[in-house]
Amino acid sequence: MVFHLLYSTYQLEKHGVITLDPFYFIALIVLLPFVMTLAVPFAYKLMKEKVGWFAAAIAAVCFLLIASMVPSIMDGNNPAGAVSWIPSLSVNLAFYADGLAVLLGLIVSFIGILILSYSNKYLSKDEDLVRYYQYLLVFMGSMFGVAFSDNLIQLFIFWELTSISSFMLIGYYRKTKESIYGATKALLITGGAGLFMFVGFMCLFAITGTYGISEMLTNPEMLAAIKESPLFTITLILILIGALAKSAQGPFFIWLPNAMEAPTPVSAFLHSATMVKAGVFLVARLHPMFSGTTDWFVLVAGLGLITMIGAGFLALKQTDLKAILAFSTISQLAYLMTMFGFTTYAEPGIGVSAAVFHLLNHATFKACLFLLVGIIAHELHTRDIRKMGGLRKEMPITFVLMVIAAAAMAGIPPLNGYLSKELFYESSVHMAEALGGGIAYLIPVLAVIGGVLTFAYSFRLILKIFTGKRTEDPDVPKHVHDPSWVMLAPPAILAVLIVVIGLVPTPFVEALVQPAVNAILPGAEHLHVALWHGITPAFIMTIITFALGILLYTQYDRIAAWQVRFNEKHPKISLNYVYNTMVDNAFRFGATFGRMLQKGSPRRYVGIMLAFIIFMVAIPLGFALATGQPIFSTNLIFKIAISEMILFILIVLAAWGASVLPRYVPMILASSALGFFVALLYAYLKAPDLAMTQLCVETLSTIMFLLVIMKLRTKEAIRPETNKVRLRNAFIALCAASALFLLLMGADLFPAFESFSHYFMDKGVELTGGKNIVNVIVVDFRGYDTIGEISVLSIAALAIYNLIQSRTKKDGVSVDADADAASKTAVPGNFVPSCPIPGAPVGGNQVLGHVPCEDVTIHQNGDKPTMSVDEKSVNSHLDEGFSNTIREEKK
Amino acid sequence: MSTVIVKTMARAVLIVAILFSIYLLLNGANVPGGGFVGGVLFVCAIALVYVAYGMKYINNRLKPDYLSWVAYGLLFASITAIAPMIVNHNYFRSAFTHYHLEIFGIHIGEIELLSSMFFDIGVYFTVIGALLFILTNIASDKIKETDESESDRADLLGESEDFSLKPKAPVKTGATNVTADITANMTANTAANTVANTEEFK
Repeated sequence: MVFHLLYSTYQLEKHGVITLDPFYFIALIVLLPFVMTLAVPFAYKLMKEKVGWFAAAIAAVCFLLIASMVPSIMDGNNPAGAVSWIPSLSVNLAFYADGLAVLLGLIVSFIGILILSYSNKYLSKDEDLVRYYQYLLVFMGSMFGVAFSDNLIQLFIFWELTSISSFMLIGYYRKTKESIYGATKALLITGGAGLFMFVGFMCLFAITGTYGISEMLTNPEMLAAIKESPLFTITLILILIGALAKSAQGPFFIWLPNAMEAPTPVSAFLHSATMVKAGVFLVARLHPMFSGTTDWFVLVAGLGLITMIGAGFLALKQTDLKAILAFSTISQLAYLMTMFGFTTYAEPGIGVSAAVFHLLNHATFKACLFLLVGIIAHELHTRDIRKMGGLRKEMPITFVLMVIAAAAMAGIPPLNGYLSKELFYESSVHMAEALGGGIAYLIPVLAVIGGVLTFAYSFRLILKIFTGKRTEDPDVPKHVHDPSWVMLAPPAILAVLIVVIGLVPTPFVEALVQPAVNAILPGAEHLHVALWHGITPAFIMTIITFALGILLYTQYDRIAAWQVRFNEKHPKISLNYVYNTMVDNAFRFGATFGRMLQKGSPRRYVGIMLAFIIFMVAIPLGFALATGQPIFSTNLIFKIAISEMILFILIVLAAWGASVLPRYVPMILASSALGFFVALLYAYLKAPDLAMTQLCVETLSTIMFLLVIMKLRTKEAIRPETNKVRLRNAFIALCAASALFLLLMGADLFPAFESFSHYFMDKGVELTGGKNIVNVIVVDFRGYDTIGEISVLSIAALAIYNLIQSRTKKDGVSVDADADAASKTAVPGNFVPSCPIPGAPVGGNQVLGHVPCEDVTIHQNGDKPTMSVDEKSVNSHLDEGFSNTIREEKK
Repeated sequence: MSTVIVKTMARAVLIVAILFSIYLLLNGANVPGGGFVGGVLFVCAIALVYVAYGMKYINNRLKPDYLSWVAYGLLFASITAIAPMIVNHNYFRSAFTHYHLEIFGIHIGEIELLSSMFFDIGVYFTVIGALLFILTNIASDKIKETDESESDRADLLGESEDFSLKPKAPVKTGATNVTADITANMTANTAANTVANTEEFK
């Protein structure tokens, strides 16, 4: 595959783009940003803070590559291709380009170029630029992956990759609490909902027997099968949960306002123009499978309408510029959802066409608005809209651009927002007529209310920031000005685009929108967009919207104040409250559960594990006894040679020694003797590989054990427990041993699986050339396992390193501080980290545990005073001290 | 433990053990052995030297950057796993070939080359790196302010001074006491030797 990819790029240079195999061509587009991620550090060495231009160039290459597909897509060709990945599960690496995918790809790459260029000036030189651009490139590649995937599993992988890169970017400022909160929230909601979507995909697989998207979409029988399936509703709901969470719709919207903690270019890119469109994209992608049903209309259009009005209403009270834009994004995405939901019954096409057109328009004006807000925040060092006003004279260019973008959002002619909003109104009227009038006319009314709210907050952006009086606030600089062209050019390009699409929509509709519509709804009417259609119902609705919008704007402050008062009065009526409670409770439950299990005593862990074994054996045993089934195999033959007997006795002796010896060193020696005897047993049973490995491992682990024990300096007696505790331990041990014994005795009762070891033996030499079957299995047949095992080994090494490092740091201080007394302190039992003596001076770092004075006794032992500490007290204070330490580190 | 005998033997055994570990690695496909056990044996050999000479001795001779051994081992193993994909085979596809060795036309033996052996080499280095990393980290954990390497090894066989501290629980009779007595005797006998020898070998 890699080879082919290289070959393809070679072909690209030689023959130009067209001759490429479509699969490798699309794979190149998707993988280019990922691969180039590796080049960012090198580019940074060469270009320093100008490295954004490098990333922008990659986006530009992707843009050109995708744009080169447009002519062939317009002709109705859909380049596609696949290589098999897990063919038995119908999981393939498959790419597919149709109008919809190309439209999304073009939006992502075009906005990507602008954002990555803009970031050059937005981020200061001192920030971690490499990380920033790497995340953005990963995000861009994942978005291309989502757009061009032709396999649901592959789509899911790229989908979650966008969630992860979004998590990284929201949390880009790693130190601030808000960005950590926002990033976690976004990941929990979008990632968690993605899992529901995954189950939905599996339901689709259960219905159709394939994960191939184009396969389902082009096969009328499959489409019919999906709609008739009893799983239809649940599948739709599961997939919609994922899509709605990604697009911040319905109850899932709460992550988007908190995601605004990301740097503004990121918000403009991910959280307005592209990533949040992924949910809408999925709804469009799966449109042919689910549309045309009541479920679809109610869920998609219904939730869309509610979200549209709810988010628009909540936008009114926001004071943070980016929060206003976040809520307006939610509301605008709800437009899109609603329009996709409208295609159910009548006049299919207008809703979808309007939605696709608005998808394009929204990306232009919302990205532009975000970039402008970034400029304003960059200049004014605040995003609080209450502190702004009268910037028109100081920032004239920004002002003009803001007027264009906000007016487009409000739907003022002749900008592109007007065109798609007209279509939205038109489709809502059609929908109402198709539903039979009457109460259905509520739909256009709701649409108008959504438009009115949009109008009001759009104009607030213009009027509050740029007109009126300049506020006298100590946080706001006295003199501001338009930024350099690097930051102005991207929004300016978008503003030009807004105007051009508004004035001459036809080329854009023909090249971008119509192919996408054809992909979603084959046989849709051809879309005709024009500024003037005559006096239609939609036009009248627009006039009403403007009138009501102006009216609403005069009442703006009162409504906002009412919302704030309501929130103060009823803090519990909010989705954020629900989310916070849920997350807090999950953490609390986890902590409680963890404290229950993790007492810091290995003996306890062993006890729990043994108890579990007993439990697992006791249930079937009880069942067998109750039903009178045999628990023993009757045809067991016991034949043990004398030599084996001796070996067994030695093993038992060593095990007994390991469990009763009173000090650590003899105990370790006994347990390693046990290991050596077992190695001997392996050798005796003709397993030289095992015996040799066991010998080496046992030797090494003995040395390590001794090292650790000596480092811990626990030379106290190791069995401080009472007889009662001992009895309990003995009981558990005895039960576990009997359970295992019974398990082994009963194992013969069940038919064994067919052994496949003979396959390895027969084919070993032939297939691998090795005669040692053990080694051949490890490195060849089961090489995949081995590579996992050595990875685990490496991780274990790192974990041990970290454990030792953290211990050394903390203990080092305490030992240095009170070297005389503390180094001689020994804590009985399994509690090993040295604990500081109360009253003794402790260095700057806090140590693990603190023990109150009354629990410490001092023994005068010759000339050296020693101390002993009540173990219970130490254990109870350990958790507290530990969590304190962690809390401090977090700060 | 740091007697002359141990020190001398450690050097001799080290060479043999390392040679044997390489033998195990290279011949793993046909006789008992392999990358994992070879790696563990290698680390055992190093551990023996550590017991005899202390950590400084090893760190002066081996570059103590064991984590990069792990990294290169993992990388090597992954590359051998991925390599077949470059020539359009499956992940982890293996291949092997035989060579006849001839000198002046006389057949003296056969060499078998397995691609899976390269994977085993990756395993070998990962195991060595990871285990040495753990070993050296535990060994050079600076909890005490005394000269760590010397007193560490003294502790290894219970040679430290306050081992006579009475345990709280009464010591049982029988096997327990024997062990304790042996340890105590050894403590008395070797304590003086240790100090003398370490001075000498520094």
